[in-house]
Amino acid sequence: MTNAPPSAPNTTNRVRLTSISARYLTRFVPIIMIIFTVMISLYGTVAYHQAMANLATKLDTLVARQSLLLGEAVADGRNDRIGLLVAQTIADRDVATIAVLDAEGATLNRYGSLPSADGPLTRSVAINHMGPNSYQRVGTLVVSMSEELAVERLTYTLFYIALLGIALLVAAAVAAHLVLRATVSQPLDKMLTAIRIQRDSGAHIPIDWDSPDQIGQVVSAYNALQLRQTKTENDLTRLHNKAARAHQSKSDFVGRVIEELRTPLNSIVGFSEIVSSQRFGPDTIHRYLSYAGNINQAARHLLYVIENVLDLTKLEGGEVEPVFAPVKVEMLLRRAETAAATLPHNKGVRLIVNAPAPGFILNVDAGLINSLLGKLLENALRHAPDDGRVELTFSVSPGGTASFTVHDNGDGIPEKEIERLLTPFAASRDMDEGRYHGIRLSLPICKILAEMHSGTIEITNPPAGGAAVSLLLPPSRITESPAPSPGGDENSGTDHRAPRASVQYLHRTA
Amino acid sequence: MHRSHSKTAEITRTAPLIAAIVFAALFCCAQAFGASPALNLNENGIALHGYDPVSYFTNQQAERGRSSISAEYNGATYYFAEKKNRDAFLQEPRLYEPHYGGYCAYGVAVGQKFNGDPEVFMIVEGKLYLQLDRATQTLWKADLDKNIAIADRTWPVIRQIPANVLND
Repeated sequence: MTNAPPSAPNTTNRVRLTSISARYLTRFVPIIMIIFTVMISLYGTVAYHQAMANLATKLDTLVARQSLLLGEAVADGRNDRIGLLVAQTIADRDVATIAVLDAEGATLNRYGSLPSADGPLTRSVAINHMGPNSYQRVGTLVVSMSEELAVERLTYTLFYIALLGIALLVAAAVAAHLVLRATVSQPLDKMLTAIRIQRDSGAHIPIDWDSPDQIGQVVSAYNALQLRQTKTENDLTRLHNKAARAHQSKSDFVGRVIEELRTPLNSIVGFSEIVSSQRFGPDTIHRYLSYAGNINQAARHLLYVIENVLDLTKLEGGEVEPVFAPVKVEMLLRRAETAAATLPHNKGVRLIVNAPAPGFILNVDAGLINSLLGKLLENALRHAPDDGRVELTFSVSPGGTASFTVHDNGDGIPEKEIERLLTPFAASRDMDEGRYHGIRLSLPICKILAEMHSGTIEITNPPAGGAAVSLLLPPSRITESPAPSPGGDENSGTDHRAPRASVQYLHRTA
Repeated sequence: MHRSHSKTAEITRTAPLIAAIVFAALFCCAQAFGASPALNLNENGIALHGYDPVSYFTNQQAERGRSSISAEYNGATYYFAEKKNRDAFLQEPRLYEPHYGGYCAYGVAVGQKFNGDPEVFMIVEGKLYLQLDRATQTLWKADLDKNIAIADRTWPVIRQIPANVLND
């Protein structure tokens, strides 16, 4: 049958029935056989006793009738009639022997040997004859019957019943096998195959079986478990990869920070050694003063780097919780402008603030946004060449995205560095030298601050020249827009020199 | 059939006591019913093998009685097909009793007590006569008056003699 192949390899050594159907039938068939045999035996016993009782009744009637019929013939001594009646009696196949005796006990006629009168199926009856006034006994009739024929008939009956029973059993076994295969073996085989495949290859294969019974429920439960496991494994893989990436980036970051700290420290150590050992003699005081300036610059840079790393660590560690509140854009711009005045910048650099139509209110953390704009302006002011200019612009795109853009007219930023500038210290070291001082740390901080507001940082090289860094905020951050008609009240504006722009002349600080 | 034999042997071996009790009970029953040799009763003391005695006269046919409708008379139990038959019987049982105690009428004529087949009957002058079988009935009917006359003379003689004694 169909379940034979899985068990075939085992048949040589030890017979292990792996099929449910076969195991079921190996129990079912013998039990039914035993029950059937017991039932046949019981039926045979009852039927045998019934047949014997019927035979005895028949013998009683037969022997009585024949004694009545024989009466006249025996009385008259008519042997031909006696012979006829004996022949008629013996025609019955159940009759084994018959003997007709006269009053003295002499045999008048008989068929077969004279049976003993006390046999189980033997009857002895007086043959009486009706006289004119009374009856008289004229002889004896002895008839015996054989149970052979009855037993033979019974045996045939039992044989056919047994045959019928075996046929029924075979039919029941085949039916049971087919039903079991359709309802139990098939889904189990499918499950087994799926489990084996999973064990060998790890692949999760859903079992294609649908039935409302318990097996169907087991299969659907198994499928659900597999689905959940697959999901869990995927989640674990994703989390693991994420963790690995985070770990890697952290290690990289630490490595880069250490590298970053070493350069100014080397300067400090080198210059301070020269100064302390007076390597160039005691007279070259100007040279030593210049070196002390170098030491100071390196130490400041060191401090700057450390402070920024600290900021970055705080931000990344989630220690800074933004507090969102509605803030006027004019207020933000004014604060940025004020702060920019104290920032270091090149000679003659101007800051131009392009104010928008008044009335825009953003739902942001004002302190964080100011810090962000301050860093952008700091970078731009350093980047802008002598007598160059830096523009801070707020605008709202037709799509509703609010953006603060800081645009300088220095050199553009190399395309390949744009992406890396947002990762701490990832950009090339050249970017940090001179004009780009600190950009490798400040831009990643800006990125984190922007992300806290669900925004992004965009770095572009506009066609007009220079570099532009934008903070883009989603439309949801704008809580209020100005009325369509331009012009607002005097108080909301800043002290711009032009209606739309303010220009600030910055003086180089030490 | 060997199995049947062994089964039988087993049953008889395992339960001889039960068999003895059953036989004793049956014997007592028969005694209690007053199983006299004058009546042809079966092993349970039932007359006419459970056929309705009244039905022979009212319907002119042999009809099986029901054990739920029964009556005792003269040491024998009679079954009836209907309650009105029982009522009729109890009013005048002698009218409905089978003649010669329910033995074969022709057998009685020759001094024998043979079983009367309740299906083979004849009513002559208001009396119910049973016969062993149809062959005997044919023989009996051939000389009806003479047979009845002889049997009527013979019956008082053999009435109290058991059947097996008559055959010795």
